Amino acid sequence: MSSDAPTRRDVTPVARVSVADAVHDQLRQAILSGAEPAGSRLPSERALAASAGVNRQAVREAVQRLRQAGLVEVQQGDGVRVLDWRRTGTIGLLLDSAVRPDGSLDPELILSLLQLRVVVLVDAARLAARHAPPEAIAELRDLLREMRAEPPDAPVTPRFAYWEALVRASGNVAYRLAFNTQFAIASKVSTETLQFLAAGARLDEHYAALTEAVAHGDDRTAATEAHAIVGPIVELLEGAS
Amino acid sequence: MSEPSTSEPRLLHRVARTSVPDALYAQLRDAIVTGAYQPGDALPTERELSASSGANRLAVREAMQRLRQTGLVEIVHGGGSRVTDWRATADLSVLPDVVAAADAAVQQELTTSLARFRLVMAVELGVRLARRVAAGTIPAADLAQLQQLAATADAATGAAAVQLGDQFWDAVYDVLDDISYRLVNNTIRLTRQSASTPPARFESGAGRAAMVAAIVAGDPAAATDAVLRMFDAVL
Repeated sequence: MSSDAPTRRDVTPVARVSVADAVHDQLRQAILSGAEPAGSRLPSERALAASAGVNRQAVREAVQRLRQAGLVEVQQGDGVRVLDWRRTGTIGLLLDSAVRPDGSLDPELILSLLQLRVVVLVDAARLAARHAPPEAIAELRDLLREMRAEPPDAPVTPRFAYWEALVRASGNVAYRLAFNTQFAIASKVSTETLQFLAAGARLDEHYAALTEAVAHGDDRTAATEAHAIVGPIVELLEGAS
Repeated sequence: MSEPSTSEPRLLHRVARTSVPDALYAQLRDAIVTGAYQPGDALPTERELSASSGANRLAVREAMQRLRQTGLVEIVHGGGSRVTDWRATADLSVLPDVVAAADAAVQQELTTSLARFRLVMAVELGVRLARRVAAGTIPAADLAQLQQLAATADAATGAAAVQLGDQFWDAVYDVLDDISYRLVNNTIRLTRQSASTPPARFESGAGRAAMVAAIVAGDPAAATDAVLRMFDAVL
């Protein structure tokens, strides 16, 4: 590579966004910043399409996403009303806001998500110890075996497969949905960031202790071991903020 | 609005006051959640849906888009749509829609799991707020407001109790000022509102005043006890 060829740092990744996504992002920003305050009405579909230079279908799709996130409500024949996102915003809002287009994370949002992750996974471990059927225990043991078979220099990962199995074993569907939310956000994050966040997750002895606690119905130990795995990154980030 | 589901989903035989896409979305959603369509099943094509329902293609497309955004269907290669296993792939925001469509057994499953989720979040926030009081970082006015809302909610009965309970928790989440907790709380509130009969499990028992007292005293352990007692009645 010649010395005046662009290095990896010179060009930031360009995210390919659809037209509807671009319109959605602008409207979301306007709403969250208060430029379009709660209670106000968005311009008509036709007006938005005209000013953005896009077709009405794209505007309609953007409005749907805003509705899904709890930012607006669509009133038949009466236009689109902006809501108070603090009261009506759903987790969909977080899915859109947590990861920036370049793959970096909003620090405040990520700490919040990771703290909630601890609460969910620790209780999921507790419930799994109480309720996991034999097949679930076998699955966790299989996943643990796979973990142990990894070479020592394999990159650290957040071990989604293991936690997904554990959350499923807990029998709590709300926790499954919460986990899916976290997974969806993590999927947008760069590998390096994920590895940083997973720091400490390569604690095979805790995964082993957690698995055995679940297998033996010891909910207290299961909760403690789960906390030992997912807690440290939160403590690290809390200490830094 | 929706007619009772039979094994064969019937599409849009009655146009309600809601928009055509919304009505079509609701009927397909109901069919999926009640199991008339199973995970992995292909939905009819846009053309087929348009023909059988009488709705135009644009309305059908909008309904399908909403189903995708809700997490109930996914696009497959070739452009068709397939029903997802929503428990395995959807995020929390699917809950209000699922609860609106669900039968009693699924509603029970959802509300029980949500009650537990609320409990662990409440324990955590009780601890966090108590610690912040001990560190002196919560304004006295905020605490006074929580005390007042707690007392009012504890004393209320019937429909007012639900409303005041919401106001109390909203105020607590405002003071906590944690975005994930806030958004999850919103989703849980919306889910309760979507349920055809508001389930008792969404209420926490009286005892909010005790929880706030523990927070005001800066005592995390007492806050945890108070929360557990509050939810004990509903779990």
